[in-house]
Amino acid sequence: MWRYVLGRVWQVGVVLVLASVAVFLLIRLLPGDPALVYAGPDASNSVIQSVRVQMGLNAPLVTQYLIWAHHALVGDLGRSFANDYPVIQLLEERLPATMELAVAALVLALLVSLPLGILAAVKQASLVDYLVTGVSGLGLAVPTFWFGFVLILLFAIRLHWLPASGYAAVTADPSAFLGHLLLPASTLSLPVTCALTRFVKTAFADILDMDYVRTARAKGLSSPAILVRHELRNALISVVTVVGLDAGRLLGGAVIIESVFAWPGVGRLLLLAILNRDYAVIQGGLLMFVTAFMLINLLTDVSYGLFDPRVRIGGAPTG
Amino acid sequence: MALAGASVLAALAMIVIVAPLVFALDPTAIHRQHILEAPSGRFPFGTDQLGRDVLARVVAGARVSLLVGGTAVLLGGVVGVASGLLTGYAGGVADAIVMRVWDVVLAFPGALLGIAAATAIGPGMASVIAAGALTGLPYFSRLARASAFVEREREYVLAARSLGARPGWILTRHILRNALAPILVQASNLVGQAILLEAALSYLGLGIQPPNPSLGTMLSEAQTFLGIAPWYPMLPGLMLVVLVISANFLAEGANAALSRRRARRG
Repeated sequence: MWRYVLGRVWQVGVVLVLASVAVFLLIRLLPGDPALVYAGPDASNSVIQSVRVQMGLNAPLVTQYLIWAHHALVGDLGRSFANDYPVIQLLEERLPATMELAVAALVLALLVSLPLGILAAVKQASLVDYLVTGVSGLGLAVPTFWFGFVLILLFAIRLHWLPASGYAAVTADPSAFLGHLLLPASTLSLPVTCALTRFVKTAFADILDMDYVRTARAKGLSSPAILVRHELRNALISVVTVVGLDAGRLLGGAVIIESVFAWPGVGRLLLLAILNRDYAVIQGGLLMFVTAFMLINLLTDVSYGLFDPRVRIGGAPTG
Repeated sequence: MALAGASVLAALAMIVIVAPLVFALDPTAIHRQHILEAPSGRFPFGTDQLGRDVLARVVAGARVSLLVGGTAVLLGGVVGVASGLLTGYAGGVADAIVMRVWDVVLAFPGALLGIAAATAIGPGMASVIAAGALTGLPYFSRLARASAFVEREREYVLAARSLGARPGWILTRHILRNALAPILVQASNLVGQAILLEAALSYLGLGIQPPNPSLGTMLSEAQTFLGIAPWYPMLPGLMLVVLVISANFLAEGANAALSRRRARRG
């Protein structure tokens, strides 16, 4: 097991280092001088020179990267060009809102897709199956942010059940927090719910055909007992992997959905940073997202190894 | 179903290309007396906040969607397939490096690639196409590489090589031809996703810039009017749904045809 875990850690580490190089180069290789951007259009030559020294821009690119990476490792992502706040502080302020949104969307996706997928697998080729498969196929073709429009129109404007946008801190007012969370989280969960439903259905349908399930049925075990004892466990292994990949998709999707509902998360911060050409914030934000994404992937792979001994004995899963 | 998808997609493509030539559909013409009007005989999709014909703008936006989606997939496909074939055939260090690079690209979800592209080359059609191409590229590359890996050991390739065929000839005439079917299936899979990515990035202001019509930018302008003119934010979104569904149907059909062919071969 440890061999397998270490192998995965090594692979993820390599990709992470390369990704950080990409994020670093993205900003450094932009046309235009970062010192000029930082100092502002009216700065004199001597000011620009001192900013250049201060930012370490005179050093060779490799040295610059190593300094930047070292700072990033100890939590220093530089200062915002726009308001001079430490980037890490800006990210820390916004991260909880994004995480709340992503976690709520993941929970919703699991709550809907597991029962629906299992139902469609058990009642294969029935009306329920066609309905579930059809609707989830439709959902995959809907632009997620536009689905947010539909929900706002329905539940905020027409029915007045939920607020159309905004945010309330959970510590200040838990019920207002949930009210504000429900529409954006449902919106964000749409593509994941649909993809997951289809996946759960396929995973369960495959296992229904397995010999050992047929044996269990022949022994006279009741259907629910077979479902819980034999199928759930095995199907869940593959579901875990897909959920891990989806968690990363949710983080990326949150960047978009936050804009629909004026949700004060990292995505909004990044968009504002692009408008302001606030490169330090863009760099820090991208680095944080990629790191989170890779860590989730790592956790998924490790849990996959825990659930399924074949994986850790056979080495890393391919692909 | 694939046929339905293909024909709807073809019909839509025809409509968005031909319609502006036949009807007087000007997406930028402003009708001052008709601000935010509900759908009517004269304006079947209503008008927007400046009095522009929403139907004309949806048609123009759909054209941009198809153009961006198609170009992104084509670009990602060509670069991905070329890199995958070359490194898969050559193997060794180049192969390892290129595969690592695609791993890094895969570490960024589509929206983040869009942000990166908009930062690097400025928001616009080019940045959206770059982001769309990049999201698809690793998949194309892996697919082509896997084919090259398998095919290069086959007897016919050995035969061609021993006859003195150059690697370029073997790659394009033999290996690519055999790998083409799954690559086309993959391409049809990605068109719908590229269209959705364009819409999302343009909605965020990272894609097509106004006054150029794109379904994404239209939706970001229209969101404000959800309460007073719901058709205006709803119709461009429905257009996107139809576009993506027909692309996905086409992909599912292509996929089914491919597995049937594989099953026949045994």
